[in-house]
Amino acid sequence: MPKPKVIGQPKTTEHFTLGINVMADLLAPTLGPIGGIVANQRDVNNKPELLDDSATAMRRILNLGDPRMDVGAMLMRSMVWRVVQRAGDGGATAAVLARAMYREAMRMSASGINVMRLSKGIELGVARAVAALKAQARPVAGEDELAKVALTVIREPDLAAVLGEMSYLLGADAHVSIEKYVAPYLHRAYHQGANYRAQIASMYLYTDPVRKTAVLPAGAIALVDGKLDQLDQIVAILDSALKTDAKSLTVVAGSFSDEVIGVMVRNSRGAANSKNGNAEKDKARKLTITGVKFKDVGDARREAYDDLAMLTGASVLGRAWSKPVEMAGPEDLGRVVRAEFGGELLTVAPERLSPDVQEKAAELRTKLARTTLDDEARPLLVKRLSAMTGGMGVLKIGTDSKLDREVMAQNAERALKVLSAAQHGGVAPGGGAAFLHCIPALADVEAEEDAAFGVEIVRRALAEPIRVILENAHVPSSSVIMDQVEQAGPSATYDVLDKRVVDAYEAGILDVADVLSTVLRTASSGALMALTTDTIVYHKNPEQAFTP
Amino acid sequence: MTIILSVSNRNGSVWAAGPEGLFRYEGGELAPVPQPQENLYCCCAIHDRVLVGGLPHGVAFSLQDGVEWQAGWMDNVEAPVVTLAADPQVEQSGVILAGTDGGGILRTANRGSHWFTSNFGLRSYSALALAWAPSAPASVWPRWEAVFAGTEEGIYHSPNGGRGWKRSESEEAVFQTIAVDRDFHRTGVVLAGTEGDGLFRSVDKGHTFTRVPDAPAQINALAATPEGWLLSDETSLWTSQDGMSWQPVAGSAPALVLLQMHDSVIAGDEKGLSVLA
Repeated sequence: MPKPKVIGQPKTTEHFTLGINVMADLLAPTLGPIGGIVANQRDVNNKPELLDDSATAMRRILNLGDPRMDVGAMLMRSMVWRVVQRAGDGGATAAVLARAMYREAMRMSASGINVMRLSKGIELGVARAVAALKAQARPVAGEDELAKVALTVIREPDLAAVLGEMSYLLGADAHVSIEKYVAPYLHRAYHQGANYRAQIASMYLYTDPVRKTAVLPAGAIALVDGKLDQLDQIVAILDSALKTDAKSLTVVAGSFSDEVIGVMVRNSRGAANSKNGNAEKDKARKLTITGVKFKDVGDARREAYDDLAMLTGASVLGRAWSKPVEMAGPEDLGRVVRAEFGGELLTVAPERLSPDVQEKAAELRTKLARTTLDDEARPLLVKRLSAMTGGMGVLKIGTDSKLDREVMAQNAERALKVLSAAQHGGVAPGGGAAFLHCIPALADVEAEEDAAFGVEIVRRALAEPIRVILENAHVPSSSVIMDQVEQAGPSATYDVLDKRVVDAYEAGILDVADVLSTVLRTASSGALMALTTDTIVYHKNPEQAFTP
Repeated sequence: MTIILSVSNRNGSVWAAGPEGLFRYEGGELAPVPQPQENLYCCCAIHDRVLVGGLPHGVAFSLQDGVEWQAGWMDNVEAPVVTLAADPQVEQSGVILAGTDGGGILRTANRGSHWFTSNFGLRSYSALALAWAPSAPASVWPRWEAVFAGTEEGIYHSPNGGRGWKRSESEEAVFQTIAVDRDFHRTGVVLAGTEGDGLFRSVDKGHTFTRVPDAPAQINALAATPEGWLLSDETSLWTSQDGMSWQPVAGSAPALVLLQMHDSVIAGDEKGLSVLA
């Protein structure tokens, strides 16, 4: 087994500095509206991939070919990844902030200041700056501001406008499913009510076989958790539906036997009956019937039954529940305004939302508030909440190249995370100005001796994002402009396109307060890790990972 | 006595609809046009066709000014269509919205051949009034397609041409008529009239509506005019320059529908149509 190589100070600092600088140099030019593009040469046969977001640019780098740089570079990669996973945006800003903090800290430590006390001061400074960011935040005003926030994440105006609109209509905890198409395409659709991945029990149960959809007007719904394979079971459900005077019946079950499907088809209005010369008999039939099976399994399926029962007022019938199917009565059926199946999606619009539903929605919102944006439990919670509160959106995007399609979908997902954070935590002046406006709040942080230098490190680092943005836009005299922005008040920023100090809210140059807080916290944590590391162990063949 | 509930204009040619049927307004007279619905509530004339909606349900359209009619495919919605509103860019987009009493809002993107429910965000499925904002200038981003819907419980706005709706902040009321400022993209003003709870005004592009003090309680018709605003309650017409302070028009007759056309306003009432100077 090859022996690992161990190095200590001052080599450790030297190596960290190399890697941190390389990654920050790579990402810094992407900051701001006039930021550059990172060209990634994948191989000699393909044209370079042009990237303008830090997460993807970082993801493409697995090593830099020089082990001395790799340790610092991979620390930055991990930090940027974490920021983007948590907040959806801000990777490049985090890299710039982390480098600024690390550089200043190294300078101070070289002059004999205690690193651990310096770290304490950095933590104090960051905590105060985060509080100042929260104090600056204003609630997002509407679809205009949401679209403008989306445009800061993805530089595609059409997609940004659609995402802003979707976030506005779907709310802070939007449930959006992304569909990818193989040609340039951008569209969106909204499905009202509770939506579940499902499969139709039989092609004979479509109301429109050409479009492969089943649309049922106001009527009843039966929920069966298990097999529906006995004739007396379906007869009990049909009898119950007729007693409620429903015009339609939607049956959700684990599976349907052929006999049961036969009974459903023969008793349903429309569908296949009238095509066989049974038009007269069809008139006598009172119900339009369809049957679907949930595609989700395990907890997701159980929760879908629970939620649908609560939404429609139905009882869940079946072995594991209180009542066997063959004992079903009218009181066990739920009511829907409309049920629709198409494109592997069952959409149920409940008749009215009961207080129980509103209570459940509040409970889900509380649970969601406790999760971070990258929490694995979050998608299911968002889905359940959307069922309780209104519905979901479908974003349909397409490009000619598969790679571009994937990048576009990832960008859309990132932007949706940012928009969610914007609706929850509000927006602050963009273009790095929000960090700049935090600086006065650091003046009265109580820190003693060396810790005060830590606060000073944060103070200096907070000016770095706007400085880099101005530099990227080739704006001269950046320090003069930063002074002007500070003096113009807490809502001011610099518009690098119009080359003037503006009100950020009027100009729509906005950042999301929660994203900025995450960026600052994660950047300081990365800088502190590098700052407090004294020894590096190099392995001959280090493991490579696509995810940090 | 011909009751007129809906008026539509196509290049100076005026169409009117009411319980007695569909009419063409020519030379100051209402000329009946045969149509297939039992009882009409609304009509909408666009560049290449005339559409009608009413009882029992559905929308019919004619490409030959009423000579022959076709039924639109209605996405299984069997509710009376009470209002129709065409996108200002309907010639290019083909988008028209239909409000129904009980089935919500339907949207077509092929000028009435196929209608699909578009109820996302609505809490009430009785959509009594629909009104589009003028098209946004090409230089504006994001270029929203703003449209408003009055329902039995509140007023809604849609930024995307009726694909999805968001309830505007307003009191709960039956909103039965809406008018959008002709300079909407600069002023953001929208007025909404209710069945008996007064007039409401928005200055933020329809996001919030506040009650207009001293306005009539029952607003049957509303119109934005070059000089300001016009409304009708159950007794007379009222005018306003800013939508806030209203004065009754002396000697005027009440209207059930008002339509601004060039330099005049067409008023539909229980006795037919009249042109207001």
